[in-house]
Amino acid sequence: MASDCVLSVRDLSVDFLSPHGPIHALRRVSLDVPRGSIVGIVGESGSGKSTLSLAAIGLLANNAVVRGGQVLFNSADVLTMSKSQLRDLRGQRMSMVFQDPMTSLNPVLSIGTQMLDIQYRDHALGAVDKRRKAVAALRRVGIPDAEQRLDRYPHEFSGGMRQRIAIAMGLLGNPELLIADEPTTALDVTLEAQIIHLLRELRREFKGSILFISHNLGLIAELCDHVVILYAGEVVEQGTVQDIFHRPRHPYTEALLVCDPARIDEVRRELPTIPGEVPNLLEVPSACVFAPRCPKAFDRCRVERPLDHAIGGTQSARCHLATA
Amino acid sequence: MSALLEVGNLHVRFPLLGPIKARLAGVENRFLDAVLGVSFAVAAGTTFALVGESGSGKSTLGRAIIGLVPIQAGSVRFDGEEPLLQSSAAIAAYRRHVAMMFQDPVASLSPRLTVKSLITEPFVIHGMKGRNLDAEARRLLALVGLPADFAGRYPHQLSGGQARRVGVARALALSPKLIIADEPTAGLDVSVQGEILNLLSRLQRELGLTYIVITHNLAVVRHVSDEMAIMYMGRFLEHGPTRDIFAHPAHPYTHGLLAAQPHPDPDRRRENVELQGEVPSLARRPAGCEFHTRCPRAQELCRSTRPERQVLTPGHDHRCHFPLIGAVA
Repeated sequence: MASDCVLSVRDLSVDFLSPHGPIHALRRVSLDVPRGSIVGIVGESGSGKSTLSLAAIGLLANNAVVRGGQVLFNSADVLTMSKSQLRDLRGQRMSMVFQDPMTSLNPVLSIGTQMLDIQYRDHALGAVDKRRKAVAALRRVGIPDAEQRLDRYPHEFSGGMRQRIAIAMGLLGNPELLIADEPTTALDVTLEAQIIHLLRELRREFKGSILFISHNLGLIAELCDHVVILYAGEVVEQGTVQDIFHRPRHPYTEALLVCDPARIDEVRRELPTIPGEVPNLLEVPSACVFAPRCPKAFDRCRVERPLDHAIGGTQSARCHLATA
Repeated sequence: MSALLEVGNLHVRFPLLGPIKARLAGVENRFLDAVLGVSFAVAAGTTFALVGESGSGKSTLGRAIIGLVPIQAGSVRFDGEEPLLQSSAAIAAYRRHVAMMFQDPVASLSPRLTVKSLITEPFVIHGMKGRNLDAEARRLLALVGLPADFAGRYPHQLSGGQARRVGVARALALSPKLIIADEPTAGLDVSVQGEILNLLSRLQRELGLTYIVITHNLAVVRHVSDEMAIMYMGRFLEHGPTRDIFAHPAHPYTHGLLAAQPHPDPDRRRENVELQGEVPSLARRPAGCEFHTRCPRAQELCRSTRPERQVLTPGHDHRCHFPLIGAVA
């Protein structure tokens, strides 16, 4: 399986050290990103989706401790790479688009300077060629008058344009994997639709894979091939996008789908919710993590940790009820 | 039902340059028009939704209603009076009746104040001495479904949903009649979003509140609002009962916004994007219909002549030369 996967996360556990003790942010997380596919990670705040994406690109914060597992990028473990190996990897073979285009671009450098800077590895290319490449990248993401705009500064662009620029920069090195962490959260719906459309078109062109992180189920359904559902630091369910949206097997996935107001056809004032709160990750329940909030929980769920049950070859759910 | 709030032909503009600088630079229009000729009424006990992209003027309109930004022309009538034209005492009284819930639940709460101080601060600001603030804090926390011991917490100890509840409690402190909620669910997870919306609708039923909800989330608007308006560059492009607008959007912009909503269904993926481009700069308004630069149906007339407000059915109006309704019906 791992051979045709760009990224393969195996049993990854990450703790964050805090004054109150270790926070178990990720626990035995496994997922694969097959070459050429778009994999979506869905989770609410605190589910660990950003930690997972930062671990994948080797950018975990200083207080993070990897307790076990591997992050295999083309079969090489990112977690054991040296600084110089990571430098060769990042921005070239794997790149990232962050949530907020206001803060991910340097405000005191022009777009052109930043786009030339990140081509520092290409010693063979002269400044003129690098500039030409930057212009081509901006054109590809739909920025008009790219040639003139290159000398502008980030504040001279709108939010949507800035996110396009961030995507252009991410794709400049023709990476095998693009990680997009909530790339449209700061944008209006009309721009969001444009960015999603752009990502879909770019995937066809650059033939790489995308790891798309979002809490917006609509966008996940729109864009992804595979979906991974994270809850409180664990993968509770994963499968193809059809599996997840048409045949969810984990009660948490079901509840998430039910809560989305866009899926409720008939107009109603009282909207469904998931009662209770995400467990405190300082003391993770030893049994099923979702049991305290699960409408289907029974005695076994509160004492025994469920295994990942495979369903039909493409799907798996970490739930006692998924066996049947 | 009588209207609690009536906004008539409201204009808000911000000066970009001083008069002398503008003359020296040869700039004709030194103002930025954020709200242009907006009229609507909100009946007591109902919810009115203001929808639009960033920069459409929806937040400015909300702030103008409560008097946080000066009104250039037009009127804001509340309970038949025009409080913003009266003495500062009348404005203070008006602000006890109209509360505002600001965007960003965490950032709008002072990090150095406890929840109790935050939710009872309105009493202090409005000089209501002699109140038992502890009792008020308990009452407000109970109203929004938070345990009483939250009174001693600080904002950083709250989750996003809890911070939102504190924002609701603070807005409710002076028993207002109208609450203006700016993006009440932005940044919340779907499961928590439902909780906050359910809380707001329960409070509306129990306390007879009237809401103006400012949001860009159309899925939410459909469930919570009775009437809605779609704003674009400071104008209402369409305005009417929420049910009618969702069933038969008249304006191409409304249609585009509805189409831009992602469907949580992998079998209903959209192949093309209906609304291209972005909102033009307010400093350079397009001639004619301001939406023509992005409109898929724009024609010659749209580039030259601004459409006037046209009434489709009583209560449902729009500004479009070629509304979609004619084609449908």
